[in-house]
Amino acid sequence: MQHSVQSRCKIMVRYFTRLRVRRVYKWDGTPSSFDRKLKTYFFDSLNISVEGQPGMTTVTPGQYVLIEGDNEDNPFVAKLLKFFGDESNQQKKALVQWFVRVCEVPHNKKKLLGRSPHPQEVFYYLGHTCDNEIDAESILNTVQVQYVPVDAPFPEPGIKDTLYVKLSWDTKTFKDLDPALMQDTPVPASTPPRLKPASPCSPPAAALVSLGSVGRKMPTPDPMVMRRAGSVSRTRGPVSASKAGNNEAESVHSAAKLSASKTLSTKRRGSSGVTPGVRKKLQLSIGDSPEKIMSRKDGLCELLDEEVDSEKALVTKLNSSPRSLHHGYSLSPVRSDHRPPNSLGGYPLKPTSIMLDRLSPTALGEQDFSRDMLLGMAPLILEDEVFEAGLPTGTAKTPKKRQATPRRKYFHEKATTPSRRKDSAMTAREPSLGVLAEEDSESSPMQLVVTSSRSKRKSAQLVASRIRKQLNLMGDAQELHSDDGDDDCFTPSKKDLHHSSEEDLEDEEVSKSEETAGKTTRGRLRRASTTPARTPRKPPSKKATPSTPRTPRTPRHATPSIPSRTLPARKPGNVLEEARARLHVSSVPESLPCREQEFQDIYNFVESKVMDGTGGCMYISGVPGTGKTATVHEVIRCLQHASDMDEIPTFRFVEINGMKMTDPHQAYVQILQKLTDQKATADHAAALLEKMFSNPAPKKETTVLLVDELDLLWTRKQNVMYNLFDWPTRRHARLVVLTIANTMDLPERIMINRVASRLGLTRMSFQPYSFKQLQQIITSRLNKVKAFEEDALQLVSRKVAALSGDARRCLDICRRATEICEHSAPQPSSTGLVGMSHVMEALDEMFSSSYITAIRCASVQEQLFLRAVLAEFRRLGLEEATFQQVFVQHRALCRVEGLQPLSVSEGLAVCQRLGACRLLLLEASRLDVLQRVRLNVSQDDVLYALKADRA
Amino acid sequence: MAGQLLQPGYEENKLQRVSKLLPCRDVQSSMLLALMGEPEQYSYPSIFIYGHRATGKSHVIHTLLKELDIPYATVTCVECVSLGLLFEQVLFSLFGPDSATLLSRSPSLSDFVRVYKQLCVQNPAKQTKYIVLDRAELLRDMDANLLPAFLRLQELVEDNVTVILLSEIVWDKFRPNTGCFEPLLLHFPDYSKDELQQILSEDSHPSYSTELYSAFINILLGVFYSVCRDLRELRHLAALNFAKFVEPLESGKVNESETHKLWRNIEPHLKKAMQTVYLREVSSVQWEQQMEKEAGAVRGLSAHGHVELPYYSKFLLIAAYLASYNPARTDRRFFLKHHGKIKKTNFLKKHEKTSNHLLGPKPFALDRLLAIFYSVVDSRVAPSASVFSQISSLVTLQLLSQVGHNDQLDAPKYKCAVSLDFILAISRTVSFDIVKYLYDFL
Amino acid sequence: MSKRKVKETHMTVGECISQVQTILRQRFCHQRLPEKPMGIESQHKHLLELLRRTAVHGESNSVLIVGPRGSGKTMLLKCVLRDLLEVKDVNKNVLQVHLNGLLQTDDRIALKEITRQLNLENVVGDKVFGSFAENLAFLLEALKKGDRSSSRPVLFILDEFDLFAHHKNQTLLYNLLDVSQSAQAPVAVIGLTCRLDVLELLEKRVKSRFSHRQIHLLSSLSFRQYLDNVILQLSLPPDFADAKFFEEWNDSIKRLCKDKSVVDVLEKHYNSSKDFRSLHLLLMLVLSQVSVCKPSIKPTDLLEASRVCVADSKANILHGLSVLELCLIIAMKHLSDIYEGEPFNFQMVHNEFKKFLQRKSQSIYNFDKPVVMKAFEHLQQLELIKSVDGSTGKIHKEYQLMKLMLDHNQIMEALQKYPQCPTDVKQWALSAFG
Repeated sequence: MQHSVQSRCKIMVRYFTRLRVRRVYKWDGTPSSFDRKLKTYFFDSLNISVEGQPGMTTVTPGQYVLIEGDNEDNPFVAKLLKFFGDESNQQKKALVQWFVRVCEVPHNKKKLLGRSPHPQEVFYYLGHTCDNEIDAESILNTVQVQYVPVDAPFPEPGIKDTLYVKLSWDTKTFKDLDPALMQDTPVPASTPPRLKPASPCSPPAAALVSLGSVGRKMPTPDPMVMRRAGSVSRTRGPVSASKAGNNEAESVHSAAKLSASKTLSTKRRGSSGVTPGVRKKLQLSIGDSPEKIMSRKDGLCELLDEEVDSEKALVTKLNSSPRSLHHGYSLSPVRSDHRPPNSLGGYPLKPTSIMLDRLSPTALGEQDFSRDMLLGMAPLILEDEVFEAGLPTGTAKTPKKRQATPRRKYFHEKATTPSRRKDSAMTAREPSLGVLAEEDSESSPMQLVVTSSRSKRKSAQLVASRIRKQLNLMGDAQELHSDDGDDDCFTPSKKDLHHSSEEDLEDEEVSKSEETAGKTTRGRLRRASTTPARTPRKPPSKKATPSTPRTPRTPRHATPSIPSRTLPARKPGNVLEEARARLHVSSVPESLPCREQEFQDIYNFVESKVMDGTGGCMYISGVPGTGKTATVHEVIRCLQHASDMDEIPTFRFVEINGMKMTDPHQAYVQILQKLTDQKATADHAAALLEKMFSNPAPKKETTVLLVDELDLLWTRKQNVMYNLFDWPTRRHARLVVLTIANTMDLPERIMINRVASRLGLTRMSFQPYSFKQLQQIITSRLNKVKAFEEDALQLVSRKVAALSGDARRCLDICRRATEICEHSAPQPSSTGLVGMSHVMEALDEMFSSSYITAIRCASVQEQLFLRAVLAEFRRLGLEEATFQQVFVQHRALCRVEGLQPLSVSEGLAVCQRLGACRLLLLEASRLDVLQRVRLNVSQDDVLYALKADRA
Repeated sequence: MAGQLLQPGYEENKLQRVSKLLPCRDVQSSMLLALMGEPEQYSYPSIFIYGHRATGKSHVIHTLLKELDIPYATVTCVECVSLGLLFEQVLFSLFGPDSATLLSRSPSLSDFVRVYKQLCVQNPAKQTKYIVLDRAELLRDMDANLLPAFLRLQELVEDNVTVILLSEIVWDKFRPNTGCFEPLLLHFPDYSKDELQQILSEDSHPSYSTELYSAFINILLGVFYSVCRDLRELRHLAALNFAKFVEPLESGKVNESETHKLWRNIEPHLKKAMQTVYLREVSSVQWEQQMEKEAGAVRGLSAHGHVELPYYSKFLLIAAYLASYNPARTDRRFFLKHHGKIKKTNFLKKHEKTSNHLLGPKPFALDRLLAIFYSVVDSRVAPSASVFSQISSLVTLQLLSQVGHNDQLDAPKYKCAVSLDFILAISRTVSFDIVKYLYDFL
Repeated sequence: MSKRKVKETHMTVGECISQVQTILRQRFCHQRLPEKPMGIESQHKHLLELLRRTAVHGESNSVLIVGPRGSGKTMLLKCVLRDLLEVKDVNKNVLQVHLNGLLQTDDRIALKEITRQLNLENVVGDKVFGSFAENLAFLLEALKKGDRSSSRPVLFILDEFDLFAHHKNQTLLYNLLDVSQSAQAPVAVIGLTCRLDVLELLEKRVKSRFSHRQIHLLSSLSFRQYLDNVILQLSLPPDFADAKFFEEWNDSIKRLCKDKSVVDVLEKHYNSSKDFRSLHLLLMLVLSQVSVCKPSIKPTDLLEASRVCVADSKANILHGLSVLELCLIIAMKHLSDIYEGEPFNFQMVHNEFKKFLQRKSQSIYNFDKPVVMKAFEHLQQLELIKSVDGSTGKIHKEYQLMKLMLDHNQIMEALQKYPQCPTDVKQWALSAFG
């Protein structure tokens, strides 16, 4: 039975996130308010039911939801702020606070994170480039988002489809997220009321669904179960039960202490660290709590309310405001003095985690369940809290809470949205108002409470259970109090056992109250409970992965890297080496001289597109080595900088190179992978990209795509090019495509019309560098490093400009010249500089054709054969002759030269040697004496070489 | 003659045995041994051995390598339809059965070299390995990189290995266009007549004296030597004809001494053999059967035995022959009924260089064939379907051959595919003097 | 190399000889590198310097070593690498990747090989995982991650460089050269080729990325140096085990190279080709004749060896033909004389042959046509004659046009050498036209 439940849960989960089915969106209930000016109705919750499936989910402001996005694997995450729609009720709108997934952060920014992001991590989005008003119909489902304190490690392994937020992202930097922004995480206590909308209107199935979804955000039972499972999974079977109970109580207690101490410490600010006084206070506080509770035993309802919201307040204080947390752990030293040193980070949770240490060295899943524990025991802590409030010396917070309570009442007597909208809007910005922000998140539950009677019964049960808890707590609190609380984690007490069993009982009740819900909870519990047990098995598999065959498919496992050298590369020693380093093509120059105009044009083009969020293509041509790619990169760098400076909206930059892929269709794969870290086959990738660029996504930043060596993307049907140029024209694409190729008339030559027309007429061609420019480039590169004589530079640049205007060539020659200069040590030009002579040498080393030298160095017979070829050509008046004919001449020449003539085989050998180094062009050697012979050099060159040889 | 094989590093007796096994190849074998050097010593990376068929190239190599038990792999390139096979065979015979499994399904040369290195590391042997590639000329038709790679295999696999290429074709026709590592060329000359005599005489018939046998061989060579020097072929012929040779002795008509009689007896048979079995026109078995039966029947067996054709078909064939060996312009002269004045303008066929019979048949159109046919055949024949069907049957008999594509229905062109003496025979049967009508014989 | 202790100086002649064989054979089979590459010191210096900078300073470079076959490109490179690794703080610091255009016939194989030799993380055992595309991406990613100062320099050595230029799109070359020109892991791309026009093979974007460094190995060594080199190649190293034999041998070598005939032979070889490899081939043949009973090199050996080397292989083949085949060849010769090398067919040849027979009254050679045909076909198999148009379809083999692939002098020489060649055939051959 458990199994089936479990599987069902899984199914549900998958069904919510994965399956693409038509959803039906209905406002739940009547508009809560109406704005006359804007003609908009405001709603409190939205029912999403999926066609074909029974039941529906209910989404209310304050919850976290998944929103349909580019790729269905990880849709956008956001927190609902409110719902509204126009009176015609045509479109349903929602106001959201965005969260950014890792994969949505642009690549170049990811390194700012400084660590490898957690797969389930999201970032609180502080940017303002994308509007936070979305179509409510794009909401997929609710999701659980948990706040992880900045310096706490991520829970390993994250609970399935729970996201963790730790930092905020404002499109430039990652900032520590101010906890206050996150404080109103949906809290267990607030969930029972939320069951309500499902129950009356729809059959239990609906409830099931809703609970299923809700269940994910009800961590209370987790800790016990997990702990239990955890303790069982560890080998200390027999004691485990008591242990579990024990340490649970312990944790509860510690938490109590923690919270208490926090409140205390908030009272006397500045009194750093812990004094016995603190503990005394604490004991006292716990000590005299009971009668407070007795006094409050009546009037459950408002107590419930009281509790609910104040505990919220507390929760937020607990896992948010760093200050208090700081104090919270400031007392850990005292407690941990007798304890084995533990390896755990995550200060705020230290006390609890320590106790877990006792049980297992492995720190798996500890963080989050201990956090859950804090939530779970919120009710108890509440007690001290509340009466803290009662104390004459109230903390800074308690008064606020006081005034909070009436405000909330006023909320659901006549819920006036404006105010709520205000603070909800505020929550987005200033953390200080977080406390207020929490109200509206729970105000919906509140009014539900009043409407429903059944939920009241249920909540009553909950409250009863909670009272029981408190009693227990009181119990062992007193015990703690009785023994000297410094070593308190091994106090065996029946109460613990009893208490934990109570816990179960309570679960039973809940599940009895409506079995379906119970099932789901149980199922979920099972699932949760299995997690710690599973975890030990996981890591090995992870470790194993790098060696497993499949790994290279995902570069995440097999990291592509060249082994690093044992001792670092030597720095350039003298001026020449310095110069050489600077002249190396790879060395990135400070600026790109001589390309200002082109730079400006491209910059303007891209900037404008990015500014008004449209798309477009640009075609850049120019012979190699004229700085096309470099210029574009420069432009992008500047734009990035600009967007950092906040002058233009952010954009993503993706670069592909036709030469760096094995086949044109790989382009899709590479683009997709660089945009969203997905790996896919070419076809699938194409489909995904198509989707991404064609349908509107709520928040989207412009993508700048650089396609280098465009001509390589040519296919017979040209579909790759077509898509690349077609996407920018889509309305929602926001895609700017910069294409680079060598030939100016590429579009005319190889592109079919529909492709060429889409490429458009925004073209730019880079002219080869003039000699002045080349000179300037060199000088700018070696600025101040005086290594060259002026005229030497001029010579180089003139020569190169005359030949190709290729900057690379120019630099290479200069480098070579420096080497020559270095090694021609004996007769150094009085200045240690690179002079004319060296440059000359370098030049003809690179440009002089080697044929002449080759001919001169050829053996006598080879030279003779060349002669014979010339002679035969002259005789035939053709540029071609068969070996046979040439060989006759060769024989004759041999006789003239007084050499003994070669045999035919030797002659062929000679001929084919010449052919091998391409002085001659030959036919296949099969038709040996019949093969035709041609010269690969001009006859004059041959003559010249030979003549020089004779002389 | 044997015994001057000596090379340090190998046992004497083995060398002795080898030299026994290699008659008349002492020079070559000793040369090879010298090149191979001692077992551990490096030998030249690649050796190219060329020589006529059946001059003992592969025989010498194999005996040497086998008898002196040197590790070697021998591959006949004819067998290697795919590179994979070639590589597998090499690895298999050098490193044992399991080694070939290391190769991937369709291995590239680089895979082969990698695996080879790997295996060398696993079982290092100092002894020189040899890879013998027979019929190496076929390597030229495989991947272009194969031959150069094998020539410098020693360098590529960094192992003491020598590649020996065997071929009938001279090295000049192997050299790739961008050159390659030049192998060491060795020539295996053909056996001289005496050597052939000596070798052939070795397998003498047990029941007869060696003298007799060598006498027989002598006669055989007398007939065949000027045509064929292929040892294998000669040996085969000897085996076939010896029975016939000794027939008279069997019957006791003559005794071994009177070789002249024997010669007169066998000589015609050998001549026939040359025209038939040597040309593979009859199989050896048929030939032996013929030996039993009376001679003369043998003649009937030979290829252009008479084909029986229908009357008109013969004329069609003749017409076809005329059409394809006479220039079209001369038809008027040959086939016009009254050629009074044309005779005067008797042709000037002096300037013709080569006769049409040397250049082969020319294609002709169907109507020309029919025209000639009607003028040639004396009785009147209606242009009936039968004529056409006969033409097509002639084509199927491959006496005519259709040129161009078979699909062109209008104006198909034909060639006559029969030789002169064949057509002479045919025309004789229909008592038609074709020579009168042939342009070449005017 | 010598397995004996050095102290016991005397060995039997046999041992000495086998030592000599071992040493010299290693030399001629290019197994032992010379201490100093002779004749190409400057190139050696240049290359060594270049690679040293890559290894030490992490400066990316690309260079081509161009020289005709057997001019010692590989030898030079090996020497340089050897010397480079001797430089301290280098040997641990460089990675080498050896590729050969003959083996890595396309980029797919080449990439796998590179990955394997770099031993990147997607290599398990000697298996490389991932598709072609993935391998490329992986390699590029790896190289991109590296940077000048920290990551190890990689020396890419591409033998038969020109063959890589024939790969599709020259993807591999582009990427390697691109890395060598951008701030990534330091690499040195060293190409070896014998083609002088190799640069024209490169696409222009690839060409532009190649720093046009070329090291040419064009040895312009005089015959004098050549001769010295011969002596150097043949003489034993000073650390030879047996001092006495060492003396004798080297003296005998010196004496040998004084010999007139020897010098002539060597000069002939020098004239035809200067490269060491052909010299090694010659010397290998010479060396093989050295044995216990003849413990030194005689001039005759050299002459014999050179005779083997320069022998015209086709003449050898002609020597083995039957009289009939020879007659056919002569007939062909006459035909190609008459028709100025126009192609001929079997009919014509047979015709010529028959004419010859008619002139000769006694008809020992009148074989009937099929026999002649068989001989004709045998010649074709030996590729002494070649059909003009490759298509041997339809057209009858009697009428297929052929060309003779022999030189007249070859035929004549062959006739002179031919064993008991019938005189009338000789005359026929000599007669101006058939």
